[in-house]
Amino acid sequence: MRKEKQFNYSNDIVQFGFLYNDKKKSKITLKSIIDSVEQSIVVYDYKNILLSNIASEASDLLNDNNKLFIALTSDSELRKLMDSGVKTGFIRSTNKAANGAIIIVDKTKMYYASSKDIIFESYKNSIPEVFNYINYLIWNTASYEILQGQMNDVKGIRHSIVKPVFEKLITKEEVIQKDIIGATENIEQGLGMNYIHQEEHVINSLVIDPSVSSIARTSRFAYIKVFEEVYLQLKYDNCIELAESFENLTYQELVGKSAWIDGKKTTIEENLKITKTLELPLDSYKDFEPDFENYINNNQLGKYMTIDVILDIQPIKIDASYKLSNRYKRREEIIDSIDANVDKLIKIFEDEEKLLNQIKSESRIVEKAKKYNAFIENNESGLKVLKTKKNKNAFKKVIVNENDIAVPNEIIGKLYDKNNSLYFAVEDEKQIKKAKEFLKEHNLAAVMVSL
Amino acid sequence: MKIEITSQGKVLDLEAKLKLSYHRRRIDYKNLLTSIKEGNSLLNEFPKSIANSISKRLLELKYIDNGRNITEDGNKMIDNPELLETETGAYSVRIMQFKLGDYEYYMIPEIRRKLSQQKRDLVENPVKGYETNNYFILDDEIVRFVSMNQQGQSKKVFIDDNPEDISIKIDLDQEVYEYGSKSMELGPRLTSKLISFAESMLQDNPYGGFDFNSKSFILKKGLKMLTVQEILMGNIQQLKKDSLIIESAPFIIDDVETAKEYLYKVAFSKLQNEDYYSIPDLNDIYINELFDNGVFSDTVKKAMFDFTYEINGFSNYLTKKEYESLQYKLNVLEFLLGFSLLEENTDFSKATNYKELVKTFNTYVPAKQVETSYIVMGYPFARNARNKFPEFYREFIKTYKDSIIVKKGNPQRVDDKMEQTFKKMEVPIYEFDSLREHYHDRYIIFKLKNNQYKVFLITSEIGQFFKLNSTDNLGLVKELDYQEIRRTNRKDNLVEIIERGIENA
Repeated sequence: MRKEKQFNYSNDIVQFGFLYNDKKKSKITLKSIIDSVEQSIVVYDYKNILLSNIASEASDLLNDNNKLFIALTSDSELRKLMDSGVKTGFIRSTNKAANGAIIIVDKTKMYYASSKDIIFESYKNSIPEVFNYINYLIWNTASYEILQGQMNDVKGIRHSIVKPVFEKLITKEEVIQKDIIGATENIEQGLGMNYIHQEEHVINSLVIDPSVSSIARTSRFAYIKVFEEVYLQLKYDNCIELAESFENLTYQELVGKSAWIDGKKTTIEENLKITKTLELPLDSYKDFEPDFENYINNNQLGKYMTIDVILDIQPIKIDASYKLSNRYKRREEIIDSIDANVDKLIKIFEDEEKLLNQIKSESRIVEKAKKYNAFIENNESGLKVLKTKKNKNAFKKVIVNENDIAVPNEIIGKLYDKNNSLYFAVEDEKQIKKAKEFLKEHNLAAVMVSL
Repeated sequence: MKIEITSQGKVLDLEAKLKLSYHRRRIDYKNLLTSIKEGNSLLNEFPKSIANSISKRLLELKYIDNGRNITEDGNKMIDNPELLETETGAYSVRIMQFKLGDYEYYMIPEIRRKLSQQKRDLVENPVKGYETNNYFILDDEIVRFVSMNQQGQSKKVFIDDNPEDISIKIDLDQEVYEYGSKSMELGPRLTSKLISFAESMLQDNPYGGFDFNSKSFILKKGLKMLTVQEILMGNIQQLKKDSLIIESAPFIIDDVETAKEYLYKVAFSKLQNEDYYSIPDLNDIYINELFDNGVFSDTVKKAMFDFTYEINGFSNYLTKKEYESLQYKLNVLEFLLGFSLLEENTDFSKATNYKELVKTFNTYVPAKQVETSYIVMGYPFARNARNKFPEFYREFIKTYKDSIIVKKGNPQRVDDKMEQTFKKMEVPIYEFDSLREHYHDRYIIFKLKNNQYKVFLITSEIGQFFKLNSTDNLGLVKELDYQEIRRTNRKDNLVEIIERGIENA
């Protein structure tokens, strides 16, 4: 049975955002940086944004013993580099995360990269602080290292390499004091995503990779949060993806376009079809009214103009995962045990053979137990005498709770167990009424399923 | 150490009537005389009759005079408790005959007062002279040989014409020779003869000279012949030359160039491992571990007192191969550790002596707030002219009582006298090797009464905080955040390691 619903967001409005109109890569390329190295390159790249690229692309640099390659990344990225066969350089791992990657060349130039293609040049005055901070992390927080292709545990820490006091790298409070003309919401509370001043609104605006958690700009510089809640001052005029800011556009107007919405780079697509098969109890699946919204994932919202949710609703069917209810076995056991005892009693009470045979042939199990118990009770003195003399086996009363072992007539259906729940399987929906009567009569609850 | 000469020789067996002189060790006389010298009366130690007869004997031997004073002979007996004994009789004498260099040795290891049953030829004594002063076995007693002369006119002796072969084994380190299961002293004459022989053998050896006074090689040809292991151990594993074997003998460096080569080789070996040492670290190791470890002669020590490592030195003093294997790491070290990050002056930098330094600590951590303190150092008791640790400690405990010294387990040449002084003062001293592995630096830690801690980093040994004979600082002090003293991936921090260590000690 198919049920479906379409959600239409065509006229929903995105309040603020950017539309990419001219994607440009940075003028600064990784290759140009690598080629410029004369003595040393220091890379702090916790998330391995471009460290692997350097390791694989800068072979001339790495094979030159007179040029230093010093890197700091996370434990897991270090392991990956080792597995990829890095044979040169001094690479350590830390648990101190950073946003983006920092590259320092010859201690005189510094770059910030948010991806392999988006690289900013940093303002020079903070190079010593950033270098000292990386050096501090290398000697005080490292767990593993690769030195010229050899991987080792890092044993000790060296407090004499102290954490620098940040003066050139500035705090958010200090950034706010600058003449900010654009920033993410992190900079000023309550201004909304991708806040842009009114006068900037229509011109091309700065857009940065999602890995950047916080950025602000003045007319000359950008400030990006790098680590430890401090911001790095960057030149941005010569690089970056450009986009046009917008206000109050509908999904219909944005569809098929690459846009920056809610702090994420997104392309709104026309339609998404979500198809699901549901299995429900036999007696209720026809009446099921689905809440279609439940079948849409959060991450799918805001990415499609329309979403179709199509549900195929089926009754639950018995399969190999269901086991025939234990009730059937227990019934057999009770009958077998009474019959076996009756056979013994016939040998002891020869005069009562007729009565005992009647117990044996009784097909209603509760009645059978009742008759057997009555016989035991009536002949208790006789049994006692016999028990002391030669037969030590006691004849105990059989306690039977009918509801515990009741099973339906096979014409109606069969009971199954799965995960400690009871299932009533019927061949034909016509039997549902009788099945429910059976359950009510024996005070049982079971899920109705199809055989 | 082993200095051993081995040779093959023969044993001559000779029997004759002889006058034999030897020295017997008389420790009993020495003890009696020493006791008398100390002013004790023999009457206090022995019954009167025995005391009298002992006095009589000592008087006879001229060890004491009538006034019960120790004579010159008596003093000689105390210094060298040997008593000359002379006897005559028929003896069976064993003589070891062996040749070392051009010289033939005749040495008596054993004399018996009983003659053998063996039939021997009566011949002119073939042995003209014997080595003297060595210890030998006289029947079952070990005594020192003096002389042996034939009685009467006859110079003939009974001799076994079929001398047996014998292996000669001389230990010049202990100055003994082996005979059977016994090892007996060679005595000074034979020793000096054998040393002369060994010296002639060692005159031209691959390492330079060998000095028997210090029993060390004097390196004169650089370190090329030495293995890394030998350089690190400070001794040469084995030198074998004909009958001479020298094993595990220390070496002494007597020239500045070799001394520098040695220091760079040691640094090379340290840097080859997983550890990282900056130039100041290596200088620290030099002054506290290497300078006074016995490898340098006094002349070299004088010249090398102010030595400091330089990054260029590695290329000058290592082999090309060694240098190339280390070059990258050295570049890394120079690049990342080649400068001090603690250049900023703190209040502590103003101190010109320990009194002022402690005073500065007191302004940061007032003594009345302090429960206890730990001085965590690598070389607190190192034998090193710059080390003024006692001076610091005396000043420190005036303000912070009962401070605990924690050693990080660095190997070092300890100044025993200094260490003893601290032991006498009953200063609590602990040593935890794991600290050195995990914590590169040195610290002073204050545990406050409110259970908080204040941790100060010291960039030099606190005992070497000031330059020698100067008020200039060699080290710097900086307070650390308590959070900083935990190693990544470790549960415990510096303070916890120390306190748990003390608890379990």
